[in-house]
Amino acid sequence: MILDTVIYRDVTLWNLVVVVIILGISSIVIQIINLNLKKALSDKIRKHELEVLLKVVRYTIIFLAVISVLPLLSIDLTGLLLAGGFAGLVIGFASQSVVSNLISGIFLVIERPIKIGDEIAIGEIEGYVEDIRFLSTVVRSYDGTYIRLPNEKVFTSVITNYVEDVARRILYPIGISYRDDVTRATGIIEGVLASNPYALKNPAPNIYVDSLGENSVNIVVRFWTPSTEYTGVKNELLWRMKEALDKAKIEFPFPQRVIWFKDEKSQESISPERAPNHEEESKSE
Amino acid sequence: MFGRYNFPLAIKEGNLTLQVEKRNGFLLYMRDLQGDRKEKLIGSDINQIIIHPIVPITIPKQISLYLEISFDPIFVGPTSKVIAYLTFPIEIGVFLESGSTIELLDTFSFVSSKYSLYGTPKTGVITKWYKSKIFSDVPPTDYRKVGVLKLIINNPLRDFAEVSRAVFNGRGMVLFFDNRMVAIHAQMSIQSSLVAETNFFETSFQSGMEKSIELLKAKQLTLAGVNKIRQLSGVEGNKFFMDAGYS
Repeated sequence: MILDTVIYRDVTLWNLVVVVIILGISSIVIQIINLNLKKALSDKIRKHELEVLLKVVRYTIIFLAVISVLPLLSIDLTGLLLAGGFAGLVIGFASQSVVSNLISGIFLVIERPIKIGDEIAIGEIEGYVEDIRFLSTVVRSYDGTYIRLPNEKVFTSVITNYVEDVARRILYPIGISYRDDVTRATGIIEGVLASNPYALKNPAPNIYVDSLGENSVNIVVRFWTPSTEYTGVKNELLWRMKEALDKAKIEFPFPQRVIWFKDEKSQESISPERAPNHEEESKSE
Repeated sequence: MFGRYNFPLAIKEGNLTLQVEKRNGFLLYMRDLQGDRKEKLIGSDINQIIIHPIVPITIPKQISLYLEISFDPIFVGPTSKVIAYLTFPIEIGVFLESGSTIELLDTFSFVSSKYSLYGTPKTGVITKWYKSKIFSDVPPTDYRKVGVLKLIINNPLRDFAEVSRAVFNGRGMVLFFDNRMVAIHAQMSIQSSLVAETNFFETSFQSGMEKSIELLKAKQLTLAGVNKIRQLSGVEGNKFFMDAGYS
């Protein structure tokens, strides 16, 4: 058989054919993997990072293919493997965190819990995502501080993405005096919400008496707003409600205590201004 | 009010004043609508200023491409077609024209804005919301404030359908106008008990109207919701019921 023809040492023509087939299959595998990676990641990571990833994949597969065909070419890898194994051990220990960050970065790209521009909290760090790289994620905190987070830390931390959903709910507790009309107060609050474009029509706002506190009737106001407008709306509308309630002379009571003494004369002189009913009662006594 | 203008320009209609005049070698654009003022300097040579009605999605901020019109529920019979007229808020766009280039300079509206959530916070969209009456014929309108939307509702299903709102994608919305009315011609095709598709006609439902400048080019159709009769008590169709529990 012509395939059994020895080329040199123990290498036959058949061995060369197998080598060519393995390298050819590797080339096809590289093409398929790269094509799929391009499709999957082209809109998720930056172009130059994608190119680096494709190169890493290409050379890894070529390296594995070459290693696998060398025995067929009667090249002894024992010494090489020994040296390579030792070097691999050293490099492995040295690059443990790098690899860990790289793998975490790849999973962040695949899972996409955050995107560039998102308002997020990672652990105790809050701000806007400026960049997501292979090894690290850059966050710009609210005070403008540049924060570089290793991807491993990002991936293993609790991530809160404030703008992942299109809408968020805002909750205000508002305490009004027992003397004021709750129905009127809720009507005024409804009016403030209705006049603001960002207080969403649906889901409808929810305003109700939550509890009867020691000093006030506690009203809870819940409404939804577009996530992109959350901070501005939250900061503005509570003040607008306060202004509207002030205008309607609805009172936000301070904490107060009514103290009664055994001595009737003392009662008359110490009765608090903010409890006129008690004062009147004590006078009538 | 809508049309092309040369300089100097001065328009006063109700609470609106709009002026373009020469100042220090530049053109100064000034607009005041109920205390909401805007001034812009125009440095380059421009041919004309164009004032057209535009898709109502830019005020107070362009955070949504969708317009949601809510109206009293209407029942559409099996395999039938209904023509209804709705009103919708319009925004007014002031454009600069230089050669063949048109640039948006300013937008304003006589109608206050309100946003809403269509669907769930997770999968839904923010919409510009408007409540309209439903008419069987073209209603009289103040053309500076609201337009008329002719909606052909097509129900090919074998059941009645109850329609109470329609969501339109601003992309593809084509406005027409004359000196009496702003108009949109659209259709809603009910595809199932939960889904309907809306799209726009490239022509107005009345002849002699001018096509307005398109802010956004047509790209895709969008879904609108329909409610089906004979559903569980309190359920208005799963598509809308998704909102429940988020209040």
